[in-house]
Amino acid sequence: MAHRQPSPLPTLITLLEEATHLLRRSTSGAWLTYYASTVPFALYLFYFLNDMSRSANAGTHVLASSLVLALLYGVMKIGQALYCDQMEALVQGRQQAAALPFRGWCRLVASQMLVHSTAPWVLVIALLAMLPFPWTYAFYHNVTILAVDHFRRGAPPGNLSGSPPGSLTWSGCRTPPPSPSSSWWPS
Amino acid sequence: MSNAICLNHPLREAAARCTSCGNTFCRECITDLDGRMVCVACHRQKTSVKDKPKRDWFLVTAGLQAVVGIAVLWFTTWAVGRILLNIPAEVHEGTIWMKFSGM
Repeated sequence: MAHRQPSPLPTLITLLEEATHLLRRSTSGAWLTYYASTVPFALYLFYFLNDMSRSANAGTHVLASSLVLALLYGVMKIGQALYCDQMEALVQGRQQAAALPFRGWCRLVASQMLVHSTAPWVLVIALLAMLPFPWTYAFYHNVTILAVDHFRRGAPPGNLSGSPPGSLTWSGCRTPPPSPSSSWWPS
Repeated sequence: MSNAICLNHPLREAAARCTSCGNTFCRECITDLDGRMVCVACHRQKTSVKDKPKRDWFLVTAGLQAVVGIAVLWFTTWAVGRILLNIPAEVHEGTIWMKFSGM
């Protein structure tokens, strides 16, 4: 009977502990970026759902209301990308992140808008068609997580959005996430 | 012209004078360009296509990506809104079951 080789990958509990600790170490500026972009979308989403469900006059302003919701969704994704960049800087040990150039900002906005606009459709199709949903889901999250650093280095957007689902992982970073014994983990 | 020699080959007798630079050349070094005799260097200079500066489509492509993204998102949220609007009010009110129970 062959013995099972121990996996070199961290266990699920280890990943959860690292993630929790990373969240706790996030700066107030990072949290502000996250909530300033996410809370407006969440609040407007509740308003939108309630308005379309209960209001008698909702049909007259569904077009304008849906545009506001779409724009807030895009703003949320851009804010989350900026938040993830600050978390990534924490993991990589970057002290001061270089400013994103103008072209980087343009590419960030364009890529987040374009890639995440397909997410509601592609994820539903992936779920219904029994496609590898976790990889598809991970792809959209990785586009958010790696976007800012990707464009800061001047890389073309095709490398980011053209990567196959699941291939954008931590290996795309310049340094892999450290183990609990590394510097950012409390001793 | 009888004593002239080729600029590139000093041992050869010149066959023609370049109409562009005016130097004399042998038969090997001269060629025809639109009915005029020119040397190889002038021929290359006149026929070479200068590389045009590459147009930067960055703002166009980035703008197009953003606009397409917003349009798709807008259509998605509009579709969700229309679906919610088309659901009967009884479903939202929680009274749809009364239709089936005869109350």
